[in-house]
Amino acid sequence: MKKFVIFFLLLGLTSHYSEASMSELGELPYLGSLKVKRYQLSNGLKILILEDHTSPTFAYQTWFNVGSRDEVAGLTGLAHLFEHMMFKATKNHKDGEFDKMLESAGAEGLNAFTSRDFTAYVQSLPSTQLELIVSLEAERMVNLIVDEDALNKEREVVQNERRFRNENNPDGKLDEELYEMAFQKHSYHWPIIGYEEDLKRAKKEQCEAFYKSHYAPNNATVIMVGDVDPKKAVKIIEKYYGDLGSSKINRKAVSVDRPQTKERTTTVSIKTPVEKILLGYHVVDAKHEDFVALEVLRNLLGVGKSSRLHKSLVDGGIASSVDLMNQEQKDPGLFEISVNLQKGKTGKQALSAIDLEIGKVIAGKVQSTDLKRAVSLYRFSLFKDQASHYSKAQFLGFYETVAGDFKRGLEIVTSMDKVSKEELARIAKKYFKKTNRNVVFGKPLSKKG
Amino acid sequence: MHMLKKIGLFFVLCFFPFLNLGVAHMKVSFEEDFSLPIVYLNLVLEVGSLHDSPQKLGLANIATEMLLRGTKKQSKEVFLSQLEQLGASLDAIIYPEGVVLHAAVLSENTEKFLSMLEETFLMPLFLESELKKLKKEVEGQILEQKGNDKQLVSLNFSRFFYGTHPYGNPVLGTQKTVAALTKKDVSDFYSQYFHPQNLSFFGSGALEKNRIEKWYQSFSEKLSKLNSKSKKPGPIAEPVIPKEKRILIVDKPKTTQTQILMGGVGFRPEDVGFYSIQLANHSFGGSSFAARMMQELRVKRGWTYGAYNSFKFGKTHRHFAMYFFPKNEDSVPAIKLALELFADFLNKGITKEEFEFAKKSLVNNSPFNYDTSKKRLDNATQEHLLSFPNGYFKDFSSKIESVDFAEIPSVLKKSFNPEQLTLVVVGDAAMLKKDTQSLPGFKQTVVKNYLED
Repeated sequence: MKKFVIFFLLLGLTSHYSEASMSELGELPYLGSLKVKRYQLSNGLKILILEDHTSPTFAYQTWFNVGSRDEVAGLTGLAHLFEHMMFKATKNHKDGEFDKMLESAGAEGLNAFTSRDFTAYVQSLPSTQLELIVSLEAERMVNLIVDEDALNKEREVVQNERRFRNENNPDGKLDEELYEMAFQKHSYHWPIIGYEEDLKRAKKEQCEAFYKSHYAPNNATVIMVGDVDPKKAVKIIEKYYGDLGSSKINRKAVSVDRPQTKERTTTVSIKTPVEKILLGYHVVDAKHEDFVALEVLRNLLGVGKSSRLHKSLVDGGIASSVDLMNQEQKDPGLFEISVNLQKGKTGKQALSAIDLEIGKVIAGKVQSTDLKRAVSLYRFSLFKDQASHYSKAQFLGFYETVAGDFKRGLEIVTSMDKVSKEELARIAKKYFKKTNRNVVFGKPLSKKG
Repeated sequence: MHMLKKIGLFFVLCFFPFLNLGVAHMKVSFEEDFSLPIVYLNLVLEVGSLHDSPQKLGLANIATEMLLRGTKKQSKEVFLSQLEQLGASLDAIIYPEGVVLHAAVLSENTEKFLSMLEETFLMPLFLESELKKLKKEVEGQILEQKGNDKQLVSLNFSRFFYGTHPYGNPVLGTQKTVAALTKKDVSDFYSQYFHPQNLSFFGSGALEKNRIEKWYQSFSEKLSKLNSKSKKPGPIAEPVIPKEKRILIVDKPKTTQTQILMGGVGFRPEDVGFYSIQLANHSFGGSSFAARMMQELRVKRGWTYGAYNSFKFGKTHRHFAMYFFPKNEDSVPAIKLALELFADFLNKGITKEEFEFAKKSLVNNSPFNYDTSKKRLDNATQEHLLSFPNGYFKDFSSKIESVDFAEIPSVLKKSFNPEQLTLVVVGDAAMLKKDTQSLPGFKQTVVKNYLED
């Protein structure tokens, strides 16, 4: 985390020059025979290019190092609201033109997403359209117009998205409660989509300030994967991004919570006839040395139908499904266990079964076949998710932005074989303590609501 | 021109030929792709929830899931653990028209995986104790769906729209029908339907085509002998939809937002004007941000996060439906506006500018219909399952290219009936019922609680 802050501050100090020059920073191996070429413009823009000519298309993604973590209390949801605004008018294009130009060029998956740590703008195009997308992305990186009327309309759209994802969605509601409880000072506390009142409150000037503080070449990485010629691509990038000056990134200091010392629980009402339970254990950031073992543990406990929690909870007649997520974030995140209960079963029953399985890992009751299974499934899911240019670009963009280097994503899989059962016992004992746990029980409302 | 040449070459590479291996209508196709060390296989059984009888709703799902729960040689636990140690998955996705058994494996373990697949499908165990567990799991899934308003509106739309027609069958069944399913139902389903005459096999990935063809041939021959008294599922009749405007409110008290589906009888590729409708809909409610529904409901008014009109395809005609999800207060105004937009679309068609934009967008986007071997595999699976023309996805752009602007108004008028609309709203009935009565031409309003089947 520290590395990140220092890096961006340094770039900030070298700001406001034009005609940036491109440096080629080498070629690195990716999966199979694929290679990634790394470049950087002197204005700070990072570029990764992966050539893959299996179809006449390419994915183009722009990952900004800004997410809901960069917001302040009372003004939550700005990063996501801005993700919506980025499709509006710019200095050289009227409202709606961005979408129309790309759609008529054949764009696929024209979209964007915001997380706690990043905001990404993604699309894939036929390979003849590289210059179009580079010109449009460079334009909206610095020339967006924040129009009051458009902002108000989009604010309403986001309120509806919030109702859809959080307010009227049992899983969204539980997730919001979990993060509010688990993080009391850190900005991971609030939902990515923000609070209703904060979204109402956000003023045009505050939105503009947020944009100027975070949208600049030195806060972004461009990823290209597919049918592109790196030499030509680099020239096009220089043409459109080369004149953009870097900016001082106003990265706020993120508050850090004191280590949790006792279990936190809460109960929320949900409009569903069966109970749900969501647990979150404080764990580590994506670059931490324990992260790999935690991923092995996640696969061992909860991935696949022969995983331990599937067997104890689903086969055991307590749950209809169980899902585990080890949040990969810049700052220490949560290891989440989400359970949908069977009719008449309770969250407490699920909790006891989970404790029992974790206890077995702590006691070293892990076979070599369990480890083999966990590692094989992780490798399998990695390759299974890499079918398209889009998914490869997403892998590169994610690790480059969250972990500072895409190689981290590959390192996780190659270092898994070294994880022993003793290592699993150690990390289970360290992180899976009740005192480190946050539990949200979702209880059904009555038939009348 | 350069682009066209590339795509031309690409078509040749991605062609998905069927190979008839001489065993009772068995179909198999495989595309080699060594770019990643993974193999995908789809085994398609042409029996799905459409073929569940009214008393046995959910049988296709339960019977197929039971196939994956242990063999005569190995218990479920041992079997699944070995499968997952290979870096593999085997899942059943149930569609109305059939079941797709999605299998995937790290290519280094393909041989072992193929022998496990054979064991699964030729030696299923069908233990009573596993059936009991599975029924409880499925009951939980049925109840969990009631918490998801998007799923709830979709399920209720299908049941209300199709009535007793099998396209109204819920894939998972109902609590009552699932509870009543027996081991005999499951084994009968297997012996009656699990036969090469009802199966097709599609695959792609890092494996030689000859190897997979040999495996499937051997597997099919064994299966033919095993289930020699199998039968083909009966034909599915066209649904008969009431010629009126109907409303169903699925009451979910104290929700702050509604989920809305409103639509009518849909289309099949063999219908006259099918591609004109696809093109015109891109301008009305397609995935384009410039589409009228998106512009009017979301961009100009901020009433909903999404607004689309999409088509559900099937072996018979299914439905089209407009979908949006505004807050409670905006719900009825949004429905009224959608109705006005729809009427305008049918009366006036689309503008020349919209036509050119839609055609260009759809044609230029077409490489993404088949840009990975995995997508081409899934396309072939869908074309087969829905009885679509072979190459539907590949040929889509040339069909769109040939659409004539002049024919669109008459096609729209002939194809859609604005007086035959079904509206389903999930939301707080106390807030909605009075206002929905003001919707023009809608007569019947049915209200049910969201917990009802």
